[in-house]
Amino acid sequence: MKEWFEKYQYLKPFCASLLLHIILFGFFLLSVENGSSTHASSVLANPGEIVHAVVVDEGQVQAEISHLQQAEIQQKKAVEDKQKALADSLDKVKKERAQEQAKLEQLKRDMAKAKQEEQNRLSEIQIAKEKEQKQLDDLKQAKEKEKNQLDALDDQRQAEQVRVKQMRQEREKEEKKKNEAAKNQLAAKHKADEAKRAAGIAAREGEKLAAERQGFIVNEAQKVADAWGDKIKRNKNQTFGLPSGLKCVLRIRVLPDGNIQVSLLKSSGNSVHDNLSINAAYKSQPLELPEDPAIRERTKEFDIGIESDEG
Amino acid sequence: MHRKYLFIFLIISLFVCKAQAALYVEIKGGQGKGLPIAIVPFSVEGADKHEIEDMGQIIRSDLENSGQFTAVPFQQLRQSPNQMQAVQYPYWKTLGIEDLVIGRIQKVSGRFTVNFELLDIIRHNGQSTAAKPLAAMQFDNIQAQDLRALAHHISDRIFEKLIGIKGIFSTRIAYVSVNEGSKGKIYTLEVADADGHNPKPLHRSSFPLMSPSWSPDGKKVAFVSFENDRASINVVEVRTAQVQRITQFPGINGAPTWSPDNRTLAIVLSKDGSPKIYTIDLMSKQLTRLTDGTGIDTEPSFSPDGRSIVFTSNRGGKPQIYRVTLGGGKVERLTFLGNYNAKPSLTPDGKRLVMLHRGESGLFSIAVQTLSSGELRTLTQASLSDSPSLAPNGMMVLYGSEEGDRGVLGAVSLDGRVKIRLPSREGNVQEPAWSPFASS
Repeated sequence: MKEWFEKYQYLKPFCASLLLHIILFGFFLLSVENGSSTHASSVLANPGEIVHAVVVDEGQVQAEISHLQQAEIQQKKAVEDKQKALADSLDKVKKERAQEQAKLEQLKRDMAKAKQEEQNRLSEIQIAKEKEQKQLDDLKQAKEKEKNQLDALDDQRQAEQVRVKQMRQEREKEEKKKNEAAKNQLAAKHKADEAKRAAGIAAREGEKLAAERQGFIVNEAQKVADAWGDKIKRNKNQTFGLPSGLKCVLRIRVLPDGNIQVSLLKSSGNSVHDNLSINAAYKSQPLELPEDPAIRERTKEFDIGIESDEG
Repeated sequence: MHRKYLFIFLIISLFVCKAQAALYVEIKGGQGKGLPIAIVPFSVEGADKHEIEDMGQIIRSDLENSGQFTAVPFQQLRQSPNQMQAVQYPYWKTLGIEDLVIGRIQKVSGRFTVNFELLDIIRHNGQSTAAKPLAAMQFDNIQAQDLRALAHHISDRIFEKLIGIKGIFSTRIAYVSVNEGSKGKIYTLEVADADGHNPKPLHRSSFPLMSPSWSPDGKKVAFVSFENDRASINVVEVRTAQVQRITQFPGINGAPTWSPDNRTLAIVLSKDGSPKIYTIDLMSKQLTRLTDGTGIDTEPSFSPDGRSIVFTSNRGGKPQIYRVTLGGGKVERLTFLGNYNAKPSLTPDGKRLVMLHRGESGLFSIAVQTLSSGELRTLTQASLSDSPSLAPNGMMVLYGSEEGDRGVLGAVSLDGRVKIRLPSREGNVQEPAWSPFASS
């Protein structure tokens, strides 16, 4: 480009002159068009002058017209000269200006070029810098990536370990669960079998429960009665000399307040033993009543056999 | 396992339910602490109560001394009703007694009328004051001197009612009392009430008197006398104190006891050598020798059925108890425990043997042996001279014992639970014998 500019350096003035000629030609054209019209219009514009006209001989007129025409040509020629001088000076100015302009342009261009060059250089540096940075970044990234990869690897390994551990635990848990389930199942089966068997014994569940309850009541009632028997024994006087082996049976009705009514169900055949026994029973009242109403119901009457022992 | 037991239990309970309509409990034995009883002092009307016997006190002592009762002391009583209507049962119940005795003495034209009631405190329901007494009696036309005997009689009634055994409170005892006289010792055969009161002399001698024994009818006492230094067996009638000599053989004439039918005496004679057991028919005076051998046989006692005699013999080396049957003369040894067993007598039921016993410890005691089992129980410590005598109801043993240098009478219940000392008399008292039940 530089070279190109150097090669065609002479073109600059040529072009400037060309341009000046073109402009001048333009002006000319414009003035032709304007001259004709201006003429006609001036005629039209000065109708009064026309009124002032006086009739004059032709030869005079002719001479006058030729004079006038002459004058006009002269004037025209002066204008033209003047115009030509003006045009020349204008052209000259134009030329100078164009030269100036061109110079300016050139300067401008040079500056721009320099600037562009500088710009280019800077941009190149920037690019290089950026490139370098990029390279650094890339390196860093690569490094990071590598580290991440390592970390990831490590994490992976750890995760693997955890996973293995979890898996093991899971397996153990599973195993345990399985064992437990098996055990439970076995127990359940056992229980079910037992229940089945129990059901078989008691025929029906309801009956079994009732029987159990009944058994409990019978058992507890017997305990209560035995305790009362002990109390009566403590209160029984064993007199000396009474034959051993005498035995009477008392029926004892237990009243709601724990007091009793005693009747001799079976005499021992010895009125003293019978009486001592009855007295022992009465001395034992009030009897402590059980709390369970069912047991109390069952113990509201009981028989007691009382045997004499060797004195 | 559990289910099996339940099943068995159900079967059993089912069986029990069918066999027994109601609950059934069985007990055996009881407490041997004595029946708690209270006796209220008898009220006296028409006489000064200090001039007559305190019947309430006599009854109380009788029952307490029997060992079968625990009687509340008079001073602890806060009420003293004499009529059934006046008895406030709740108060007596708080004393924890089972029975209450109340009574009244009325003097009407020089004679006494006595009433008593035995009331059941335990079984009284607290509602009616007019409860039926366990026993109630009235005695009319009683002389003042018989009030004590009547009190014993009432004790007997109460005892029998509550204990089921005949009381011994109206029985008597015979014994020999020895007093220092101006010319030496004076021996007196006496009889007294069982509690030692009312002593009455039957025979008196400056020579030793020994081995009194009651006839089963209670009318006579046989005894040994050494009058003029010759031993003889005699019988004295209690009512008249008339003495009849039965035997006076050379040598020993001793240890008479009566057969249950009053007709025969078992005695010890040494007229043919060593002392042997004989019987003598009181009517015909016919002698029958029951034992032979070279050993000493002594202290015979009839069995209650009169078919055999228990006696002491050293035929085995040491004194032990043997039994000989009257018909066949068969002898069997009864005691094997201890190295000295003597002075035997059988209880009224014939099942136990009461004797003087020396065990391994070397100490003498009154002991009782059950014949069927051979089991021996010592009742009280004793000395060699002690001679146990059974009460007619078999419940107590009377024995002479030494207290210091004095002979006294004591009694112990056959279970060893009660020991009493009879009221002491002047001088020595020895060789007691318990009478049978009064025949009247």
